[in-house]
Formats: sequence, structure tokens, C-alpha cells
Amino acid sequence: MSAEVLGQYIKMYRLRSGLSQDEVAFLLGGSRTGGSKISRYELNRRLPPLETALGLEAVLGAPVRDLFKGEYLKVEERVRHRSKILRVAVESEPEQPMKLVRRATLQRIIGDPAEEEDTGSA
Amino acid sequence: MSEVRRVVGVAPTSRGFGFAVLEDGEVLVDWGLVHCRPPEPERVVERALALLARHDPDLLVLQATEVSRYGDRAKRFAVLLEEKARSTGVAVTAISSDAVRRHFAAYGLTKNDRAEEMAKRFPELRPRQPGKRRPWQSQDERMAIFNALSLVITLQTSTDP
Repeated sequence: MSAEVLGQYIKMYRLRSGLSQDEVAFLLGGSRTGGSKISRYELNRRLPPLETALGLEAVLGAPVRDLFKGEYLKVEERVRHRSKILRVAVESEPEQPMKLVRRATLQRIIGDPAEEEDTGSA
Repeated sequence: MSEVRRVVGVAPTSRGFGFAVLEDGEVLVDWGLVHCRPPEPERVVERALALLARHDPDLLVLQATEVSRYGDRAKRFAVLLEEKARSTGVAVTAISSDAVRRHFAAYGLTKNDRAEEMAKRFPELRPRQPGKRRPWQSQDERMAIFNALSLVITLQTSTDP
């Protein structure tokens, strides 16, 4: 049995940094007692806006995709799935210079063809 | 979606419990102490269940209390937590203090030696590492974090292929 990756790992990086929730809130532009907001992020009760997410990256020294690993993986999976759909459409287009580039981009998103699941697009 | 093996260790204290959450045996995701006032087992269990809900672990590791020197309240807490965790679908296992001692025997006999070893492996725990306890002092509460982690590490090693 395995558990899914957590939505976010903010607390882990914050604990490693030695900073309190109030201190992180202050560094992000809030008040010195604004830790409750950070707490809500850590408890997965809400997602921070982009500016805060980038601020967290600057404060905690970890990329946003690591801070919000579970959320990132969900988004990545969704994008990958839609890339497969788009690839079918691209393949049916007439040959043109940009087609190769687009095909390569979609292949990069989809990843290793060997690991590709059967989506009925092939 | 990526999957990991997440194990939560919980060690009771006189005022609540200490915990450690380890992913794939090497990433310490969360750790800390939880206090309840009054530290009634039912209230403490509620807090522990909230922790489990947050981390959604594969496994909860407790210390086998029937042979431990824990007080009645801590024992009641462990029994209640095991019961409630199982009812919410979390697998629970208990590790005896002997097993932990055997596992860490190479690093020394005392809890301090174990804590030192764990702090070496997880430097982020260093600020929570208690100083050496004097004979007239009671156990530093922070040791519960290390106790919880030692349960997880012992389990991990004993179940590794």
C-alpha cells in the first residue's frame, strides 16, 4: 500500500529553515503575527496566490513545484493527458514547418514514449 | 499520481504526544510536539487523528505499551488511538521498546545516544535535540519526537527487503 504525495510540503521546508510561521508571514510582507495564514497553507486549507507562492520559494529556498509537490503532480498529469489529445489533432494536420516543433513540444510534455499509457490516441 | 510510503510515529508524553512523519524512509516531512490541556486521552487522540488526517499515512507506528513503563493515561491514549486509527482505515503497528533498543544498539544504549544518531541523520532535528538529562531531572518532552522517529526507523529497517 502507498500513500499519495502530499499536496504541499511547506511545513517541512519551514521547519528545516528554523523560521516560525509568524516570521515567514512577516518576510512575505505580512504582519509579525500573521502566521495564521501560513498555518492555513500548511494545513492545506487554502492555496496561496502566485505572489505568495513565489515568496515562499524565495524564503524557503525550494522551488514552488517542490513546495506544492502534490498540486504540481496533479497539474502535470492533467497537462500530460491533454497533450496526448492535442497530439492526435496535430498529427492529423497537413505537414508544415511548425508541426515538427509542436510535435516535439508535446512529446516533451508527454515524456518517455515507452512509459506512455494507452489512451487510444496512437 | 506519484505514490510514496508515508509512516507516522507517535510517542505519548505526559501532556500530549510527540510525532514524526517519514516518507520513503528518508524524508522527514513533519515532526513536533502536541500539547492538550487537560491531557485527557480522548482529547489527545482527537489531535492525533487530525494529524493522521493531514498526512494520510500508510502506517501508524506506536510503542507497544503493555510492556512499557508508560503511565495509565499514556496507555489509554495508545489503546484509544489504535482503535480509532484502525476505524478510519489507517494500518497500525506497535513496536516494543526492546526492538528499538536492539536496533539502535550499535549507537549506544541511552535515548541520548539514539537522539544523537537521529540528529546526525536528520540535521533539521538538531534544534529540538534535548541536552543530556541529569539524574535529578525529568525526561525532556522533546525526547518524544526522537522516540517517535526511532519507532518509525526501527520499523522501516525491520520491514526492508
